[in-house]
Amino acid sequence: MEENFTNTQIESYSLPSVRDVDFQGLERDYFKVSLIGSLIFALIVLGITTAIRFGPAAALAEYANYIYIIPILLIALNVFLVIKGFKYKAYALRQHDIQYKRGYIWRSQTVIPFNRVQHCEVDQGPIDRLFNISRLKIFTAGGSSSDLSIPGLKPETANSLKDLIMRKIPSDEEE
Amino acid sequence: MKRSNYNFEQPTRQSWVAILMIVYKFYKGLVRQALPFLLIFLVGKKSSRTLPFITIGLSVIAVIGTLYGVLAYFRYYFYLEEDELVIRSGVFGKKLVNIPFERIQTIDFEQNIVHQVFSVVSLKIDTAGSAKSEFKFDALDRRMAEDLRTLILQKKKSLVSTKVSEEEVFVEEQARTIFSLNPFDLLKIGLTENHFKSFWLIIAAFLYFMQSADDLGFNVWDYFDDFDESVIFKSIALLIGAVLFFAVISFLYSLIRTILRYFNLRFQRTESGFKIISGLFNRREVAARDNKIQILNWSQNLLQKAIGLYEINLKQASSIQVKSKKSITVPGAYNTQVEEVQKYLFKKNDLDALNFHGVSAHYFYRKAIYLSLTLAIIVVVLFLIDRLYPLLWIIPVFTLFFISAYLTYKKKKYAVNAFVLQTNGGVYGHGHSLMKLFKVQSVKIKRNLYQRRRGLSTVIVYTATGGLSIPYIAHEKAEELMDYFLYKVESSKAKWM
Repeated sequence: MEENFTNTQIESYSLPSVRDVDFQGLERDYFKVSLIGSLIFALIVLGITTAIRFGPAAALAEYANYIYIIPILLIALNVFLVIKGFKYKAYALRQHDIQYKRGYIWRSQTVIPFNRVQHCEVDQGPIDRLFNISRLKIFTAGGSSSDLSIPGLKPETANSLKDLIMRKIPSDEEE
Repeated sequence: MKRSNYNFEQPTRQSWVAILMIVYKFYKGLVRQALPFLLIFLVGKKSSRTLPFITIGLSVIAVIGTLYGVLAYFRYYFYLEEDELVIRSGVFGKKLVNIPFERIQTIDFEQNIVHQVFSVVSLKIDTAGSAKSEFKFDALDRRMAEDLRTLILQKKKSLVSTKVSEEEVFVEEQARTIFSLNPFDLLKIGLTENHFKSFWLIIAAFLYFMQSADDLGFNVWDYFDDFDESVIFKSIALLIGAVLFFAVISFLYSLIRTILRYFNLRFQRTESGFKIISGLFNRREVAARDNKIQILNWSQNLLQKAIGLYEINLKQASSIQVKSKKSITVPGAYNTQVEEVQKYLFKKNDLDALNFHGVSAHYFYRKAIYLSLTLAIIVVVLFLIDRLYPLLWIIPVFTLFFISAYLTYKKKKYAVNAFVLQTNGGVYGHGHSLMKLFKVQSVKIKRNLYQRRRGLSTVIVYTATGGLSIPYIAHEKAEELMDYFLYKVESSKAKWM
């Protein structure tokens, strides 16, 4: 397996670093899609709250309106994170791997080497379709927490990325 | 290659014992579906008028179940074609399953008590690929099952080796027993189990039972209301009594569970993997090939530490998103046996120069800050409503939280060399995880606001059976590790499975 693998010590500074990568932002239209998503979220939350307000919570009489406080804070937080988070979402492609970073408060950067990719998918939700954007999903054997889902790509970009990755998966891998 | 006495190219049926299994499964499913009704029938008043109907209904169901079992048995064939296993089944419709040998990952035997009586086994075939990838024979004659397994694995081997591949396929071969457990060992393991786990389980089960009984119209809680609550002494005595009662029960539960699960355990080394056989009524045999094992864990809790026992856990990659089922857990191992397993899985130099590093103290500080804030809020609220006596137990509980947070930080260690990553952890006990670097699937760096302000990061390394995380290290170090892991994976031709 590893017998003919030479292993000269590599000084860490001579390795290509994830620090020196130029990231590519997402399509501007994705911002709109996210905002519409937030709007739908807001409507659902407000709808449920109103149902409670005039249903079980009506007994609270003049205090009943206070039950809106937490839902409205949640909606505000959601919108805030969508607006602030958009420009932190970006992906980058290197010779041997693909990476995606995200998060305004909780930042994360995930890298998947091509030789660990199981398969790729290009998805388009109903709102995505209105703005003609797609989402690229990359699956590994590591389970859902290690998979990548890059939203806000032009369908052409998503498909060509997918093709590129599929080509990079070594053909000698059987699974 | 030894010729088998069986001709698997002919459509073959399972052992007739399979009928029992099918019928059993049929009833099990039925009972599970209809449990609430059954309970009502059993506890409800039986009038002489409904009794005949119940009897007739039950007999009809019994006849249908048996007929179904017999039919399912006779309609079920399997045979080997050139490069695949074919299974035909279906009582009403027709079902055809083809499993190419190449995709078969492991073939495990399982025996419950009925299997043991008739000396048959159930055969579980695990394949690589999409979600539904497990296949099970209900009952095969033990000899036949062994022959079938050998044959399939041999065929797989010849198929795979014609393609370019270094993958070794394990054929049923001589196994060396690394260790086995005698009743005394079993007792030790049972005594040192995590009794808290059992304790909470028992409490939960108890509450669930009470609730269900309540739902069915028994006023169980009334028995408890009868106690005179004004007498504090009585209620304290009752509380202590209840805790003692549950403690004894959970202790017995741990012990019985251990005996049921690990009775007559044998942990074996096969040519290219491990095998574990154990169980009192349900004899389970699970095999793991070296190249499928992604992470080696060994751990001990406080009690186990006192007598030097470890629990070894071999985490195996599996096609299905399964629970703990696919990993091999070996209780009651000593340090030498842990080392032996390491020696089998890792090469001589793989574990050289492992220097352990701790993580930033902020890992503890952040938790401490949150704990202090929560405590402060509780104290203020209690002060405002002028009820301070809950602090009598809140303060000790929080002290425990603080100590746990501190110990978690203190015990968190990681080490990386050119071949492996090891992380150590644990709160009161010790846990160790060891993995080869090329088995990494993807790498993630996570930073929350607190970490960013202090230039810290958490690195998570994902494998096909879960991840290892290195929390709260300097961001530069995190990036360096990420680069190194990626370099190791991307430059490696070795297969992770």
